[in-house]
Amino acid sequence: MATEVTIPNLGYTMTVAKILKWLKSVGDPVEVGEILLEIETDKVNYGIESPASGVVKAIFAKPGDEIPVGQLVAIIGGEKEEMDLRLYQKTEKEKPVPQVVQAAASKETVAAASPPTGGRRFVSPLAKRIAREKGIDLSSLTGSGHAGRVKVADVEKYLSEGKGKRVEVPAIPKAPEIAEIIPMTRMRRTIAQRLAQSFHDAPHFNLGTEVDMTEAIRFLDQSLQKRMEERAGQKLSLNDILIKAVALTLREHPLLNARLREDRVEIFKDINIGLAVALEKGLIVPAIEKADQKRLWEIAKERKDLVEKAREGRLSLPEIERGTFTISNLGMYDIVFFTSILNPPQTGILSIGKIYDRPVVREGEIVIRPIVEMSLAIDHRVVDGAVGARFLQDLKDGLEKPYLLI
Amino acid sequence: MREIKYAEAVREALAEEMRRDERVFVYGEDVELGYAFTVCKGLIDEFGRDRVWDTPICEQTIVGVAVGAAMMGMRPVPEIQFCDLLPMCMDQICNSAAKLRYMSGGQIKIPLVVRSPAGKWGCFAAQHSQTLDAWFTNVPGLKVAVPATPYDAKGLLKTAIRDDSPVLFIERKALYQIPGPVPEEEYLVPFGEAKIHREGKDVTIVAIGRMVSESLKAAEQLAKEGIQVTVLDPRTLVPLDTKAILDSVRQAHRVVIVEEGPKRGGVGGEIAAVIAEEILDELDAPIRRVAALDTPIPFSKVLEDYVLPDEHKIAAAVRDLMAF
Amino acid sequence: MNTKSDLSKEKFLELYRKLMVIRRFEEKVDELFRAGKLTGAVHTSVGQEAVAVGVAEALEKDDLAIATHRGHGHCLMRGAEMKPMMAELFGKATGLCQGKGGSMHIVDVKKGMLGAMGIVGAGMPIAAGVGLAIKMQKTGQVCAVFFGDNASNGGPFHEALNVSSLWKLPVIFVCENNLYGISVSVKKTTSVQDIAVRGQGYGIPGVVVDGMDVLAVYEVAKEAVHRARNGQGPTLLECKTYRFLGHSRGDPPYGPYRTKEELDSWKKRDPRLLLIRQGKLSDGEVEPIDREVTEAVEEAVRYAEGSPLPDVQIALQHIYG
Repeated sequence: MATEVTIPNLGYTMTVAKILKWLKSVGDPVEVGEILLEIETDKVNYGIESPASGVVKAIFAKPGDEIPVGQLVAIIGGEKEEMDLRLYQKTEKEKPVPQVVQAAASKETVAAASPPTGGRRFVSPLAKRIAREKGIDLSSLTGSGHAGRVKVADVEKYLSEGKGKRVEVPAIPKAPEIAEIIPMTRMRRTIAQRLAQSFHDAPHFNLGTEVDMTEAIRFLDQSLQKRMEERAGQKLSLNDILIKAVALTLREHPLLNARLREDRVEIFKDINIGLAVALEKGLIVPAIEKADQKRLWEIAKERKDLVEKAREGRLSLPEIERGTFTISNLGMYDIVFFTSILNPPQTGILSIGKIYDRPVVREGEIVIRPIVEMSLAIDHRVVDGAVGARFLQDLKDGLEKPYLLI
Repeated sequence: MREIKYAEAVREALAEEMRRDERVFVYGEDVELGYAFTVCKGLIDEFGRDRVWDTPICEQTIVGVAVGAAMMGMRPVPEIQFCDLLPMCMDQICNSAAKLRYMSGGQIKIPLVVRSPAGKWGCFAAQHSQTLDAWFTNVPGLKVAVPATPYDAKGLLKTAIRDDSPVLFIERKALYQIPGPVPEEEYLVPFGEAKIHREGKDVTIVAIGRMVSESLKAAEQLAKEGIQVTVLDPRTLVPLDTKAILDSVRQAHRVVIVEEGPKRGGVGGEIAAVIAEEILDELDAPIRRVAALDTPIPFSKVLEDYVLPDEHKIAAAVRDLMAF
Repeated sequence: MNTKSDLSKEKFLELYRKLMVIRRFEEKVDELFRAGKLTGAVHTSVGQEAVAVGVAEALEKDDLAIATHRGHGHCLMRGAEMKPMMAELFGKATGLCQGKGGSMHIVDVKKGMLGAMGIVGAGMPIAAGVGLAIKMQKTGQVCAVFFGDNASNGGPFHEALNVSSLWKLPVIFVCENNLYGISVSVKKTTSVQDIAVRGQGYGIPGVVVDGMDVLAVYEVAKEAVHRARNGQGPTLLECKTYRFLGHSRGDPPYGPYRTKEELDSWKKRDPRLLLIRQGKLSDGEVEPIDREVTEAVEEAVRYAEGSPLPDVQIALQHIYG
């Protein structure tokens, strides 16, 4: 009358648990509800209770092992019960058969067969390839092969069950129920890791300002647009003026075009303005090279080209890696104001909200002007608030009086 | 279709080619009476001692003479009575026959075929039961044929005799008396073209020589257990039909390679390496080889059976792969 | 050709020229190796030319020859041209074997030179095979195979002599006994004083001849060729000779295993001097030939040096038939 003890599912991100310690050994008596072993998940540590009363007949994992959810770790049985533990092995030959202690014999901890230690997963080359092609994260697969190995059958099973339906183990009553599990793509995981690190490492100091875009919009007047289109085949946008203005302003404020390396600040040689582009699968920031040296229409062309490449997934690594300062624009979404997290290893990032007409006071009169709110986040380890403030002030001036940029 | 024995099929190939081309001749030890394995029996009656004759025991010169005669435009087909004797003529096979064309910059051609039977006979012990295919696959300049059926033996030998390259034609003693379908009409089996004896989706078995029939027996047993295997016979080791092997493994994703020679340094290693190099991402399980143990072949039957591969060991390997 | 006394002056000069072709070619090759201009292994036959010249004189144009690693002389005597031969030694694309054989494997099939064989003794069974083919094809050709003293101690020699005698093959076995197998004296390796006696063991005539004397070699070779061509089977010729240079490049002419005295005594019997004496050739007759041959060799070197290296793609050709 053997009862299996398996790793329970404790949360919607849990796929494996690490064995911390066993509180019982093979041969020990145990009551239902008693803690058998302690495990660690990515969120919590947890004690697994025995599902039955009896004697621990076999243990299949040792401290330090990482066991997938649902996998067998122990067996509880009757005191005098004899059992054929081979039934619980996947393949007999490779794994050493665990030493089963009969009732009369001494209690020994068992040198049990165990899945691979140290969290290393074995996956057949074919299964790996199919998983990659289908965008399945390997860590969400359970292996049924030798030593917990993942084979094609396991990938097929995962796919046929529909992504995320966990059949085997019931969820803990207290946790909210899961409707859908979306495995994190590699891109998502990378974004998560980098932003978390940036947020953690760099103390963000945020400054905000309002910019009157009247002159900038006038700068981009119809005749200029038409001329640009005729000469360079390129439509300009306010974004291009913003990019150029930021780039030129950075020339005067090189500390914001820099990165921190251990105990020194390295100022970048070029000013490559990165543009945050939102894709369905995540955020990507391609950069326009030497933006301060380019003509407006050149910036427009390159911007269009990079965004297109980003959407088609054709960006090259240099195009992404070369950015020295980032601009993020959520103006198209009715977002009035927001702050951004620095794009490591950069020192500054500008967040631009929506430009819209509002009433402002000019020379004692209320007038309607197109206003935009911008925020600058800086790495306070590298620069102080005043430096950021001066940059933002120069940028505002430049945008409000574009001729100042010449 | 009529059925004839493997030995008869070889004999027919020799006779037909000798009729077709007067430059072809057969010689070796005990060939006039065909005394060793009956293959050459009766040829002398049709072709006379000018074209079929017994030699002294001098393997090195048997092949050396073939090299010289081939250089002069003849097409000799010497027989070396046991493949275990091939080491005696390694110099002439590997240094002369395999290389003279190359070293002369193409001035010389060596169209010879050395025929020799390999494999177990039944308690012939270590010096008369070997399978030395692998020794020759590693010599550039030689082609190596390893027919498993009377049909292939006849077709491949005819191709070998007509080929202008030196060919090691390694037959299997234990197959000599086994019959198989062989058409009456003229046909050739090309080099470098594998044959699939049986198709199954679960595992590809690449089998060589006598191991083809062993694999087919294993396949029958496995089918009853619900496992479907493909049995693929390369028929020639050089040139090797790599495409057929890879195509088959791409379907099955699991492969077992079976040969009668010892495992270490055997032909299976070469085929396994090619598969792993080319299509690693198609494999759902490791590549398995079934071969003889790395020991000389012992005399006593129970020991010989223990050392050599058979249908049971092949089936076990397949089951093992399915469960892996 | 007639016997010594009846030979014309022209004939002597012709033989002299042939000898000098080998002599100058080999001396030049040795010089090039020592200067580092040639690589690999080379085995010169300076001093042994009389054997190559004498036997070649007895062969017809259609006959075949197989030689050893010390095969330049035999190749030249079959009529191979110096330029492509030299180019082969330089490993050039214009070489006889397109740079793929080198010194030890010089082949000129069109001239009936089936090859220098790199493995000691390998040529003899092959020569038996050639003889067998000749018999089957009924072409009336013969095959001469050259080998050294120590080769007569190996298996292939015995097997080849046996089958050649048994099947009455048109083969002439020419042993160039230069008293040494690399550094080992024939006294230490060979169980008989005269290798020729081994012919008896196989029921064929074995003849000893002075290998420094072109005419003497020619006489016995003529006889052997005649026997072979008339279906009387093979003959074993043992030419007592001596190589004036070392075994190969890097081996000095005397010192480690040969004495200067021994070398000098053999040099007194230099085939070149012997021929001059026998033909009563004057300096005035000899010198122009020397000059002309020297210049021909120089030209061959220039040709070889000026030739292109082989295209690497050729390494992938001629693997199979």
